Amino acid sequence: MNTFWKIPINRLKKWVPLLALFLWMAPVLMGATPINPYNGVSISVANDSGTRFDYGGNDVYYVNFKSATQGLNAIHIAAQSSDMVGVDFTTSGTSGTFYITDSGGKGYDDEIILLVSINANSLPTDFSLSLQASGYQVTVDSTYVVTQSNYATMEEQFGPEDFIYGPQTWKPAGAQDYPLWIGEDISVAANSCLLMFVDLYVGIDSQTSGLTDNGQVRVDYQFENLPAMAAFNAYGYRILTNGDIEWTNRTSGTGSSGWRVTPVSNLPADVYDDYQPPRHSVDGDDLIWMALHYGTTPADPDWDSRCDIVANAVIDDADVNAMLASFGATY
Amino acid sequence: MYRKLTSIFILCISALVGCHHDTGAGPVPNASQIKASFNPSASPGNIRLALESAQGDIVSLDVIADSAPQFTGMAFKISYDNTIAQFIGCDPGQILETSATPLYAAAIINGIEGHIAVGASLKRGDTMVSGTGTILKLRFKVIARGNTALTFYENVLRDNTFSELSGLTWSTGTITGT
Repeated sequence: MNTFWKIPINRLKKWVPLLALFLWMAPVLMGATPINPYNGVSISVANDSGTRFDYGGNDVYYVNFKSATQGLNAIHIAAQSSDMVGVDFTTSGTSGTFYITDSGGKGYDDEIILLVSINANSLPTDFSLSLQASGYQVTVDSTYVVTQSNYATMEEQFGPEDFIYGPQTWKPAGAQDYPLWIGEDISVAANSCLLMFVDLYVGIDSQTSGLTDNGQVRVDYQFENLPAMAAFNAYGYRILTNGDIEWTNRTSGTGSSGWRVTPVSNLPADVYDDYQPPRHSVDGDDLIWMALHYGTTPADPDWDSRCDIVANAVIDDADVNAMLASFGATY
Repeated sequence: MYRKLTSIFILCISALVGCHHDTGAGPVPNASQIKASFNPSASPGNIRLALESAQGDIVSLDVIADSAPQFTGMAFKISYDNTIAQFIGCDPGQILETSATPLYAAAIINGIEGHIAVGASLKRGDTMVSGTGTILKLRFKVIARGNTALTFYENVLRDNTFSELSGLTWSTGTITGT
């Protein structure tokens, strides 16, 4: 029997302040929190099924780099599965494919965990990221020789609520303040990101020849309503190293690799971005650049279509106002 | 994504702070008891910050061109301790007002207190300006007792060909709440 309807309205009223307090506190209780500390820390994954390996019985992976400089040579992010060096790649395309490769001496990883970071303090409710991963689930003996290797795939869609870490400007590593992407100034608060770890449910077999994608991990991604720059990083996990994560792609110095997605179409006001490396922000230089093109039309020799944000074939106040609406934004 | 029942509260943070406008910073407890002041750097540069006024917990700072060569526009970013001060707005200066409609903009970067992006520029065809005068004014609200240095970065003065003017010095200062 449903007794709810027998409760007098006057009795419900006393719960209104409590409900209001809960709603007010909800963002605090449910928001993301920075990872702490930067090493020797357990991280949760966003997968519906949790972690594939559960070494400690608590559905987390333990990040345990041996020193500040170790664990940065083996894992790479690459455009080709045969690339054992990796690339520093930036694209405006919100869907694409990259590979996670392992050139380390052991020649395998039991599992690859993907770190997705987005340069924002909040994500729109209609944001989503679809990930498909393929690779190999391996079995090794006590001498690190792969004895069995099975091709496997994973597919899952993630939403804003899955980004439970951050805002922060660095990723877990053996060294403190290790950048999320190549060239990042981790001291700049505007580079803060929300973070999500995804267990790809596959690993790498670099020992066996003739495997699909050379035994490496392939990742296909598709963002919807990505509000700002996203950076991908990868982590390697092995059972024989006490079941912990000890490897990630280098993002500082020689041998660095990384993959970034910058939704340029979402931010047309960045009309001047010829810096190397690109600055990826709407700032004072964009204002000057637009001012120096003010009043021009496509017939002028110094016409720059980037300044024609509203696409009315003249650089005018409408374009200036469109820029001001995004001034201070980064991506 | 359906594993978790919780959802992230979407914080709507306005990034834009145009000149003549305030950020709408909310009231801060005991703010009226805090007295704001500004101490400029001992070695003034060609582009420098100077105190225009300090009223209660609000300081207004002039961004001054001092014996500057001919220029068209200025761009910079400033970092500060957001636990001490909050950026609340900007106002035009005088030196660019020789043009009918110079452009000014200042905004908290990504809506996160602690960094602001600032720009000011004449338009195409305007005669460049030089010498000494205030380019624009920045206003900060001091929200706690203590000091915060203001630090320029990605700072540049440009001529009407967008070329960067070299050899200039920039100096800032420290906001103090007592």
